[in-house]
Amino acid sequence: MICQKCNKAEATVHLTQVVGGKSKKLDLCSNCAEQCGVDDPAGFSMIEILKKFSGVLEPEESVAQVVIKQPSLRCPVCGYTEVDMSKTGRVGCPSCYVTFEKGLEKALKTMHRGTRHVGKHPQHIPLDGPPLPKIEKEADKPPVRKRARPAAKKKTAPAKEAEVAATEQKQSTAQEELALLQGLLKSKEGVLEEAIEVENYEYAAKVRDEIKKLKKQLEKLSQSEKKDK
Amino acid sequence: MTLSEFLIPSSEYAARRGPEDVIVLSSRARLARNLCDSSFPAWAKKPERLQILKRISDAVLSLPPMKSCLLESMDNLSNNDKLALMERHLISREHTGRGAGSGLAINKEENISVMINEEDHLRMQAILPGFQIRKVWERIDQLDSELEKKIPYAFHPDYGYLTACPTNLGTGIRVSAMLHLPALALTDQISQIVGAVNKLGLAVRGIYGEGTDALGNLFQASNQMTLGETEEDIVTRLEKVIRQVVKNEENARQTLLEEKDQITLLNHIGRAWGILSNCYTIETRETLNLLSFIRLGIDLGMFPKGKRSDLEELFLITQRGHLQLAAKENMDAPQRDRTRADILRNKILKLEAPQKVKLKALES
Repeated sequence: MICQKCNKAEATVHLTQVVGGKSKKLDLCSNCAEQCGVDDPAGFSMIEILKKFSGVLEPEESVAQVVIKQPSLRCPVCGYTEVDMSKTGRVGCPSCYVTFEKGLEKALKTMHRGTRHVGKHPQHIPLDGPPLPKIEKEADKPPVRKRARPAAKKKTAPAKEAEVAATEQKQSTAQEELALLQGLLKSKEGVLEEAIEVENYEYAAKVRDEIKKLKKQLEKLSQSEKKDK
Repeated sequence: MTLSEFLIPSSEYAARRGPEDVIVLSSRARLARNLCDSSFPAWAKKPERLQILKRISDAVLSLPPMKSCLLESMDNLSNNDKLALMERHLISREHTGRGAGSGLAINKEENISVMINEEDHLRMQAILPGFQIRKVWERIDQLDSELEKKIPYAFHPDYGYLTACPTNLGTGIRVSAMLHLPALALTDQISQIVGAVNKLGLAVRGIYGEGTDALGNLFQASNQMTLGETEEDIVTRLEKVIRQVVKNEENARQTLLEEKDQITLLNHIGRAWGILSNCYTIETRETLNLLSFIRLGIDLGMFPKGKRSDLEELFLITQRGHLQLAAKENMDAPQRDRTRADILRNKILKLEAPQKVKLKALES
């Protein structure tokens, strides 16, 4: 087998990684492998290598990767993002229903008999009243969730400040994602233990699979974070 | 007061009866509600959750039906306490995993329970023995109407009551009934029935709700959709469907009784009796499955000495939480299996082997 990068030397390094739901194979010679930083299995992303030469990666796959990297819609009240939502299937706070209205409407159609409430309502809230108690903008009040944003950084020049804020936001999103996944993993592990204890092995198997998936996600995320740094 | 002191003794609990409770063991209605000004429990941080717990606890305690209730923070309950509560269907499996920042309130009669900071800030349910779906809905509706005067609910005129998971949005209601359907299982009709019920937009789940299997021929039928329909419509539809399932189960029981020599029934019920009255170690799963047939035998009159309440009690006290609470110690699995077998062997032996029933007696 010949190296896919230099097309000369014999390929001795064989990689398989799941990219965009499909598994991709890559065969490299030891020289090219070293160039791509493949010698450290935890410290590289195949997508980055694949990006470097055309033909291996189809254009829409690379696009899909980019879309995820873009900052997602964020609830101004609680800081929940669309990414969080797609991961958990839940929302963060009541106001999220307004923030993510567009995306949710579609989902609601598949879940329910209708998309409009027709049942009971609290006596003091008329059905034709304003949607929700006035939403405070994040700027008006301290953020609900603490973000790592040291005060000292504020002294940087205005142009730079925006840039810093942008990267920080990106980082904090990744960190939040990481924390969320870790939390999820921990709770699942608890559930697994519980399930085994009550001898519900079928359920335990299901949870075990979920945990495996979570661990994979976590690994992927921490890898890409390392790379960002 | 500890939980075991508060809980109704198992024998008394098992003796409670309700209308049509031969097949419909219990009915439940639960409502999901949230505060309008806080993040949902999974997203709120611990200090916020503790604050929510305090606010809701105070409001719940001020309600007349909850005056002499037990109110506990989940971290004050032992694992066995939590398991026992789950076995009595007073809390969800999910809630057994919670600690500080989550809470629970149960009234003295154990027919109203309020989970605080489960998936939503507030999950309140009413549960009654037998087929009483409308009644449990009315009860919990009343409690909710009292509570809404004390707590600002998250409500949107288009989307109704806002919930952490969009699958509960709107009415936030889940009404369900626990059904015992051994004859449908024996006559291989159960998957057909479950499929038909699913098609009507209702969910059929195992004994402890979401993500649990159907042990002991027990099935929980509930509404799945919560938005776009009134509570009244949801309750009415579930009632209708359950009535139909009950009729099917009754027919299947009759068919089995009319079979030559009642061979299927006697075979299954007899084997169940044989194992349970001679076992020295037995797991929960097998216990539930075999007790299901003993229950069927009692329903049909195959055990003249058998009382329904004795059987209900066995169901309860052989499950892990109740077993360990009664023993006042934690046991490892083999130890539990032996203790469980000891309890069962003695009680089931007293029933004496099942006998064929005369059909005439049944028609009355």
